[in-house]
Amino acid sequence: MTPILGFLLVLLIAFVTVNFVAPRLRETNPLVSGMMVSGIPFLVLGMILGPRVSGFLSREVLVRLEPLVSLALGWIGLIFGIQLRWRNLRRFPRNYLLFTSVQSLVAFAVIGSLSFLALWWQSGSVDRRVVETALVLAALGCVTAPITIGRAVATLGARGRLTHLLQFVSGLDGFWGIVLAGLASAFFNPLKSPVVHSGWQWALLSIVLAFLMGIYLLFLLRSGFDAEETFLLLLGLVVFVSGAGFYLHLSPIFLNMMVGMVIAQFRLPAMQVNRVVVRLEKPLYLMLLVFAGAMWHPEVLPALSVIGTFLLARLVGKLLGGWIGARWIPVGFRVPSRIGHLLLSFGGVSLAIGFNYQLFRGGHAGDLVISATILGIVLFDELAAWHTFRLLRREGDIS
Amino acid sequence: MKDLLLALVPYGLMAVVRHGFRPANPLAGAEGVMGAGFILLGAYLVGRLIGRKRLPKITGYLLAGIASGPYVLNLLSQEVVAGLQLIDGIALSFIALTAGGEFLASRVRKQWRLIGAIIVSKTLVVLLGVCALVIALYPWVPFLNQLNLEAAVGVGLIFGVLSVAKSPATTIAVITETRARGPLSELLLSVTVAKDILVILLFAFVLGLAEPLIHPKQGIQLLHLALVLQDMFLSMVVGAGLGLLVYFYLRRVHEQVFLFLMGLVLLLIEMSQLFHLEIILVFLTAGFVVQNFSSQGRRLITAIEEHSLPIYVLFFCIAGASLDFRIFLKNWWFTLVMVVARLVTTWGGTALGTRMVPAERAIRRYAWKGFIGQAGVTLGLAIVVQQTISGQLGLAIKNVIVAAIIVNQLLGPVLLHQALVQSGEVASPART
Repeated sequence: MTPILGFLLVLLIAFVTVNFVAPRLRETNPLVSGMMVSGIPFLVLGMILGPRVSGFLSREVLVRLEPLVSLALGWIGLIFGIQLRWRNLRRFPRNYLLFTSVQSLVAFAVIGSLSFLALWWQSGSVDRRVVETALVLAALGCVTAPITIGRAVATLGARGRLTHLLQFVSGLDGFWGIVLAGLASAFFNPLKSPVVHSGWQWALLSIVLAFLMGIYLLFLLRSGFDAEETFLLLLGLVVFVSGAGFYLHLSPIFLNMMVGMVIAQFRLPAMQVNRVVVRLEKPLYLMLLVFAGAMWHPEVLPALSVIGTFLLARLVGKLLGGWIGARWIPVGFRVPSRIGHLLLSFGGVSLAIGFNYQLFRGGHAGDLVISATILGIVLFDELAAWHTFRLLRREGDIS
Repeated sequence: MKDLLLALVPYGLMAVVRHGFRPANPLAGAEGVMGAGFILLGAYLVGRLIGRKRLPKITGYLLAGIASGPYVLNLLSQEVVAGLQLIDGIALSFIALTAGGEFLASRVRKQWRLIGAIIVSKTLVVLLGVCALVIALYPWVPFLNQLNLEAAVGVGLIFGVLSVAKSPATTIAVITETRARGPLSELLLSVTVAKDILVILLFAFVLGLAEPLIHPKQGIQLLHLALVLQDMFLSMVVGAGLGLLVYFYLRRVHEQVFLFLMGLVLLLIEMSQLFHLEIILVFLTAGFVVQNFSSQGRRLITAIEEHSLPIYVLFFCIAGASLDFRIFLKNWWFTLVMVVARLVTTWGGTALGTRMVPAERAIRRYAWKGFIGQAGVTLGLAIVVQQTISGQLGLAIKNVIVAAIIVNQLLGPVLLHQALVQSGEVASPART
């Protein structure tokens, strides 16, 4: 199969699902719902189409389609960034933000340390790659996907203070994951450039580049373009920033999130961008899932101990983070100490961070991260759906 | 001033990222992704600036491509340009679909005598005029002066038939961009579409005649013409089937139309390599079927127009970036003679056609300006010439044709835009 046909196949799957299958699904069983929201069928489909099973999407085709993945990563970053409007965030109780950050950073610390120990034990030595892989696993692991709580609201009509808090936390949780993964790719940047020498300089360059592009986009959006032109300029900017990120080994998700954050602070341009970017969100996520399935390597199974540690660490980290938040941070109502169970949902942003690492570093470490992400999605979305539906019922948010 | 600065930012950033950091080991494909984003931003903004000067935006895209291409600023390397040329097939397919969709049978029936007269007179005058000039000049042309008269006639016929070819992409893009409506733009669209089919047939026929004149040991190769006819028939059948599919989709589903069309385009591009389909003809026919045999024509055109801007920008900018001016400099005087001869014979042929069948004043005065642009189709035919007339002669002919395309492609959109404005058919000059 040629790259074009490969792309076509993935496009077709995403297209049919978004337009015909998804609108008809209103599943209320938590397990089935968990499976559907996590996109497990797409991962399996990717595995079937990939080089390991049918070979429809060969390794060569997957490599040729990587630019498409970079667009998807950049787009996900932009969508996330555009939601981070400071003025809107201030409307929520102040401690919501603190709660989100604390549980996220606790999870990051737990996952990072345990994954580091497992990687150290497995490789027998500590090098830059081990530290970087542990940091990336921690960054993608500390993120809660908003998809499970979103599903509970959409299909079961969940509403109430706890639901509200969960929507807030899962909506913002990706911030720390993206920032920490972005900084990891800056500090462990393997590029040899005559201009930039240290990790701090790469990190500074990421921030400056993204900030400048955000300001530039702002000026462009104020120059009176219609919807068609806005789409073109946004597409061009996301592709350019993602390409520059890949060229310089800097995270395109982080760069585009920063661009989105700059725009988000200005109401009209943010609305203008938001209208355009959401159009491509779902198909791009489904495409990422199919690619993830196709790129999965069973050869990483010997590293199952590391993957198992990561999964366990995430469970512990999220439960602990949730417990600390519920115990120490007052948010205006009694938060159940088991809230961590509801923060287990795993999805788009984590997958994007995993993909980013796979594209940058490749090799065994990249495969390991992708495998951990895939298994995490399969496991945690089921768990999250199960607990979310039960706990929200118990708390009276689902009648 | 503000717009100029905004347009220059992507160029500065690209130069800084590409030349400033000079990473020793960038990721494979990263430069291509960055290049595509740079083109969408940089070329579009230059096109918009040029549009404000009452010139077509596609001239801006072409100029942006030339400036940033590997032969001038080298912001886009040769590898990146070659890698992005995948967009050519996609762009030409959408352009053909638009052209077919704009081809109203009822309109053509009203004007068929005029369309036929212009096509016949222009084709004959350009073909014979350019051929005669080549025969008259060949003793002074460095790469032709070793030939005998018969071979010179063969080469003259090839230059003649390639001068007849024009760029449907340019015509459609400029008319779409200016949103021109009126008898001149309708005539130009009809002639462009009809002539595109005719040129492919005529080229196969002329090449079959010219080859034995240049290489006397070979007989007349009309088998090639039969094969071309067979491929064209098959393409039209596939196009009609595709048109039906698009019609059913528009009628029954009518959601995400552009995504659906993109899928079809990619599929057909793949199939065209397997089954020797003429991709332009397939989509021309499909667009024609939807427009003329269903009620969904307007919906089709709207869906394409709403989303095709990024494809046009990439297509024309990459076309500009791939223009190698060194080829032009090698044979500059003969190339300029060919360009002028084509301009004069196109004017003469069109004038003759519009005298034979009475036409409106705007058509009589300005129609010829719409037939100057040349691009992908001619380039494709030039490559076939090089493959058929092997050796140094084939290469030299191709190079002159490519050099002439460079000039015609810069000149064509400007003249067409001017013609549409002069005829009063451009609805809103501010948009252009």
